[in-house]
Amino acid sequence: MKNIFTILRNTVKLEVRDKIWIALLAFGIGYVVIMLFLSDLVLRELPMVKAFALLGIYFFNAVMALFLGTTSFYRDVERKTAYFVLSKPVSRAQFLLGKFFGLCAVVFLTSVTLAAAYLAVVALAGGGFDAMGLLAILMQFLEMALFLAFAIFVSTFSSSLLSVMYTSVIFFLGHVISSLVDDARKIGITGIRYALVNVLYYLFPNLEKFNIRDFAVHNIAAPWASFGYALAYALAYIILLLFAAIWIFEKKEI
Amino acid sequence: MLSFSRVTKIYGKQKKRRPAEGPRFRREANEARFGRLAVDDFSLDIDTPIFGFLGQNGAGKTTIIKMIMGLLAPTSGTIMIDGTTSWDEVSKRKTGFMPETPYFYERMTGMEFLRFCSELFPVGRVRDEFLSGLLKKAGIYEARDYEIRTYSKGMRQRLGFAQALVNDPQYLFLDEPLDGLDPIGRHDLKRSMLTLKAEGRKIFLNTHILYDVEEICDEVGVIHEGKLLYAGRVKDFCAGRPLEERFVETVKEYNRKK
Amino acid sequence: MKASSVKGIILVLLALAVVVFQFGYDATKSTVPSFASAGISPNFIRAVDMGFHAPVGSFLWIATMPEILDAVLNGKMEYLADERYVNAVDPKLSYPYAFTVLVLPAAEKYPARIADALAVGTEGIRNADLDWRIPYYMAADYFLELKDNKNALWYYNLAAHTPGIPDYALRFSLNFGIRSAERRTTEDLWATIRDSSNDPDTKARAQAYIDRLEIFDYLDAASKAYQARYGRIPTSTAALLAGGIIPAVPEDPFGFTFVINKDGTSGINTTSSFNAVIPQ
Repeated sequence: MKNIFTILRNTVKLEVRDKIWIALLAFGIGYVVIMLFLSDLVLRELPMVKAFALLGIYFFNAVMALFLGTTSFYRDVERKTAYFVLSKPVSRAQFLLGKFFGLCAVVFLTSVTLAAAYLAVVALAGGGFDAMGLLAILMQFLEMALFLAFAIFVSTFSSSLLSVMYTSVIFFLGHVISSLVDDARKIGITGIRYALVNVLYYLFPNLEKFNIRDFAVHNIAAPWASFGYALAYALAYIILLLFAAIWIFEKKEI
Repeated sequence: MLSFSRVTKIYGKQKKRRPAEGPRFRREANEARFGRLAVDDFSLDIDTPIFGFLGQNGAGKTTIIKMIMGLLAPTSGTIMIDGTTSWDEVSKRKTGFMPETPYFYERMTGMEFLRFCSELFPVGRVRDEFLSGLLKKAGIYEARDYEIRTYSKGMRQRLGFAQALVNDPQYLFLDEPLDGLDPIGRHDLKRSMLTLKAEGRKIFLNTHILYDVEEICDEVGVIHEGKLLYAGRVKDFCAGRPLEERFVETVKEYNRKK
Repeated sequence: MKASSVKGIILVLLALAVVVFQFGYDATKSTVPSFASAGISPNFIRAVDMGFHAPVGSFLWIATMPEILDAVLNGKMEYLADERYVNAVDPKLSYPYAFTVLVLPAAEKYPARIADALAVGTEGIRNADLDWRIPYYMAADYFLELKDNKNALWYYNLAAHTPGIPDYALRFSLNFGIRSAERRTTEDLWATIRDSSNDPDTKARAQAYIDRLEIFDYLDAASKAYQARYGRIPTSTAALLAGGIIPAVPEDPFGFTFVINKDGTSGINTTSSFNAVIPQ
């Protein structure tokens, strides 16, 4: 356990020093700040301000999670910096978990920073303290953790480029399939095709459930029960992915 | 004591053993189907202060040392240190490893890296004085707070050697430790190894440089194409003749027998 | 010339070339057609926008804004199609509804402008976030265009009860139709609303408005009595009290201050601030 924490701390330290991360964060904060300079048209409309701000935060967190998830672990193994760690009394599971939690910590730090900026922007635009928006950012972080777990899982058996592609596609599908299932009947998908869509629905990580942005933007009351299920789903899926990743990694020859 | 017992390593798809004999095309076809035989039925017990593994490039030296450290798993056979499997946590607590051409986390400083390595042991972080001592002995104390990406090749070798000692190990496994060092560096490292020997530790090193084997090794193991051709005292192997001559002779003898 | 200065000049020229070509493209490109007729259904957008209905809808709306004025002045149907499109992507975004109700009636060449504006407004009240502007502009449309005082009254009342309504709109909404000339009609309308509704809240609210209107009637009568006695128009309600016409200055249940206008009729203060007490 201590080893996991050691590797976690090391991962955070190293990724923080990587300047690309800083650039991303600067863009993220800049984006949120730019909202303040948008045309009056948007500024007077609080739902629009919130909508664009949450989109920006999500987008930058996603790009960062994609970048970190597909390169950090892969690089360590590929460039053999992992030799020093794995030749010590550290199990492969501990190494992988340390990396995962370290990356989660990095994304969490950026989420917190952007959340602070978001609350400031919304308050300045006249929306007071947007607790629901904060919750939306928290749920987005949960989605990012799932995203990271998937990226690390994929990077145990693919190169960086392929990992990026797989992860992006799964991420995109994770949202689209949810919408498809919701609107399937309306669009006219029935019978076998509907059954197939449902199979895909349960198979792929289903990311729409972490989207409570609409609740935040439009001030709708929150269904707390489904948030609980979303949390449980995230935990279960993350554990599944990490378990599979560890299994593959333990067999891997480096 | 370090013991190898019928250790075999086949890289590739199928794990079934097939001899790599015959004309080249057949051997290549064999490899494609059954994988490349890197280490072949290797058995040896080593209980000597400094043991040198001598062989051509690609003979299997690095594969063996990686298997000892658990970075690779043998296809069959076992490796034991003092009766426990060498890649067990118990064994790893008393071993130090220096990889060939070490790759570091470039953005860490030398001192940070040593601290990180030492934290991975159950006993926990050792005092900075001890780590500073290691850096001084390795000759890179002045660069301890600079990021590793500024280090030269020689400095990296020295750091790789220093990190192998953070847990005060009983056994050291060094893969081509003198590779890339300048004359002073080679001299310093060899002297360090002799000091460690005097402290009662056991050193196992890979090399293809005959001169170093002659100079500091007590015993030598000659390995060629994954097979152990000779293991014993250096003086006995040489029998008065130059080591190079004896080495080439041994390999030619092996090729003839094939 | 030094090699590095030559390189510098070349770099600057290349950058200029890039800018020039960009400018040329912008000058010669044909105007992009309205996105609503681009053929992508809003349902498709909803399916693939990864849950980002609000920002996508907002963005689409902002992108349409330049075309709106043009469409409005020339009676183009694209305007309404675009508004419908944006709200199909995000039905809860209130701004497009409000903007439509405000702007569409000004489109002289738009045949069904009022009916369409009110249809959009009704849909907005049903689907979108609470936005005071939708009922407020609808009320204005009913009053100014259709001369339908009953609906105007009702929607002004609705606007007054929507949170977030600014002071000037609240003032106007609560005091619609209080002037002497209109007061009879207004009272009758509220009476009709009260009697025809089965909802106890509506009845109570209508009654509150009627009661307040009766205070104005009371002050009007007091003003006439003052004029009869003293031969001049009272300057304020305090004057009525001083002159012994009324026992006490009535308080406005809606939080305004009663005044006597220059022509002797009663009204409310127009300049100072007030603490509106919205009847429940």
